[in-house]
Amino acid sequence: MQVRHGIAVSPGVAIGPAFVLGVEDFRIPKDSVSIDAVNVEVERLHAALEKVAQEISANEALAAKHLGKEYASIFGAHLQFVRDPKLIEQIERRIREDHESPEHASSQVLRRYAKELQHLGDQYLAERAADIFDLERSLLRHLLGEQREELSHLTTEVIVLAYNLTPSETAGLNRKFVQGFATEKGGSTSHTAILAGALEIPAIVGVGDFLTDISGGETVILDGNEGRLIIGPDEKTLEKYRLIKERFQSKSQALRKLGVGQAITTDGVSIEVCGNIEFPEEAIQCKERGADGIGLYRTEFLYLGAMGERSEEDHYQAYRKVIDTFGERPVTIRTLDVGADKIPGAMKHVYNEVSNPELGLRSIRVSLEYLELFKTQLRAILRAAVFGNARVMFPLISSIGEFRQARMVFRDVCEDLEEQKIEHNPHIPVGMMVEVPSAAIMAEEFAHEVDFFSIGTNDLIQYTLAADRSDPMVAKYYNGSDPSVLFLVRRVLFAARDAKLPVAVCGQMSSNPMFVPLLLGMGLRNLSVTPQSVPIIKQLVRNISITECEELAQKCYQLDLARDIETFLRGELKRFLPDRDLP
Amino acid sequence: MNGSIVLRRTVRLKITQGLHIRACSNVIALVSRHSGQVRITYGDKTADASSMFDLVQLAAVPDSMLELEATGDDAEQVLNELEELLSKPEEPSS
Repeated sequence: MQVRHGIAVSPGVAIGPAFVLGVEDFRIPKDSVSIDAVNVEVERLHAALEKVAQEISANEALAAKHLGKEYASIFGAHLQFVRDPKLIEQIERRIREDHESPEHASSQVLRRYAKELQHLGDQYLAERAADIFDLERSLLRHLLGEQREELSHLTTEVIVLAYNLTPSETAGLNRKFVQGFATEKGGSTSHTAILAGALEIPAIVGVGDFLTDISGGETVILDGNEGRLIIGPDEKTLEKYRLIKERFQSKSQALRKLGVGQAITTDGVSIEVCGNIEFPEEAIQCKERGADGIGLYRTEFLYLGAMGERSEEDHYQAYRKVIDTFGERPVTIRTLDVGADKIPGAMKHVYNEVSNPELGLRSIRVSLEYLELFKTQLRAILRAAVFGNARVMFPLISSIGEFRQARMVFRDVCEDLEEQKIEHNPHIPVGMMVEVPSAAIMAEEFAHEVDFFSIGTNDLIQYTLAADRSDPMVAKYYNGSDPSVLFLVRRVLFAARDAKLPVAVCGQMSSNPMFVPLLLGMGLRNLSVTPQSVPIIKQLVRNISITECEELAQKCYQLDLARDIETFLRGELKRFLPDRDLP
Repeated sequence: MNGSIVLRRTVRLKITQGLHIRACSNVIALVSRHSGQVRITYGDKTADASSMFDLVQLAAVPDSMLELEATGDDAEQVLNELEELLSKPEEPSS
């Protein structure tokens, strides 16, 4: 029996046979190629090289379109690496003469070359070695592609063990058969980790090297609560974990029951509790947990990690999936919200490092800079909106002029679709995220322009208090209880109330039960929270009255220290949500 | 290089960044428009000028002397064009 430790990213316990994935970095088959198969293997190599070349060409065209010839030529150079006759000749020779597999041969040749570059004593060329490793990875991805597909053809329950899983691989995991997964790489904030939590698949990441110690089919226990992976457990350990597993399951079933039905306060006010999602695959789980709709559908996954630009059809399919799941209930789609360096994933290196990306070209600013990208997304949203109750919102709006500009593009897209006689819904509500202090300050003016507000507290806190919460040195300055933050949130809620505009809070503040009574007391009636928190937030709402919340808010307004507000809210929460209500 | 005549020329590399990836890329694009073979020697290393991997490994620094060799009917022209490319201080943007 062997015990390994990793980062617990999605709770639950799974027990079952190990399924070791043809690893990305990389379980390369060394097995020699039989003489008869040589030609087939060489052909496979050429097909994979051609696919990599196509990917690079697509990126080149995209770069030329959006960034100019100068950047595109970088991809042109990469293309010449893939098409290098000497490279191909060397790999081919290893397959033909040494009977190596194309995977092994390419990896050996490319790695040796990358190492040579690193040792030439030229800083610039040493850095280019990364490009060669990239190339190796792309090539192996195509060569090993068929193996990875095994994942979608599972027929029995397994625990997936891998070097790493991409977010899209995680999203595609068949929950019927995949009981849990553990990866050597990854951190708690990776997309893969977030997704595992959303999909309720017990998972641990960042275990470090362990794949070499395990063979497929061996029994493993995956403890997603404690971040433990037990390989070849003894009978006593198995028994212990079977009990833990049962207990965990009955607990989560009890929690799930809380999500059923409407959330109405003790004085009869109905509160909408929606969910925040990123991947279309999350929609069903989110609905099962009792979400009244989607208050924030992040669309970044359509851009991250993609080799090329996503087509309108890719967007459309992703939106349809969620809209179809929720039927008449609202689905609020937020347009692209990442930095320019992520557009698309593979083009990172053509941008210079910006010293202050949070204040740089990101979010709606990227959309307005790359209009074609923006229009593609809007077209897909407008088309998908025919089939349900979709809303669109723009992130990081910082001035009224900027909102008008985005809305103008929206109208242009409607006109285009109209002219092309493509079915779409031009009447969907167009709203904005309030997450830049300037927007909160001008909330009353914005209220005349928009169809709804959604307050993004994470960025609002960061920009108001000038503190990056991911930086441990200043994390203490990032505090949602700060009176300045509450002042801005209140300002927006009041402006919306006066203008009779719908308003939601979709940041982490609304997922934190401590803040919910305060937000309701300030007039909020629509929360959008992480799917996991839906049941508990609904239960909390059912325990309180708006009158109590308003009194609580009044008291908070009189406190001027974040610490005092937090202590007060924590105390009140104990009263509203006693332990007996928690499963 | 096979039987035909080999033309040689020595050129001083003026490209500000040396033979970096983009410059190599331009060399390959240029050479691929011609029928013959081209080799570039820098110090003790010789590169096939149609191979990205070879060229990059030369790691030729600015102001170094490169020895060019070309075969084929248009060898003279290739050398002229290469000399022009390599002895311009700025990389052409295409």
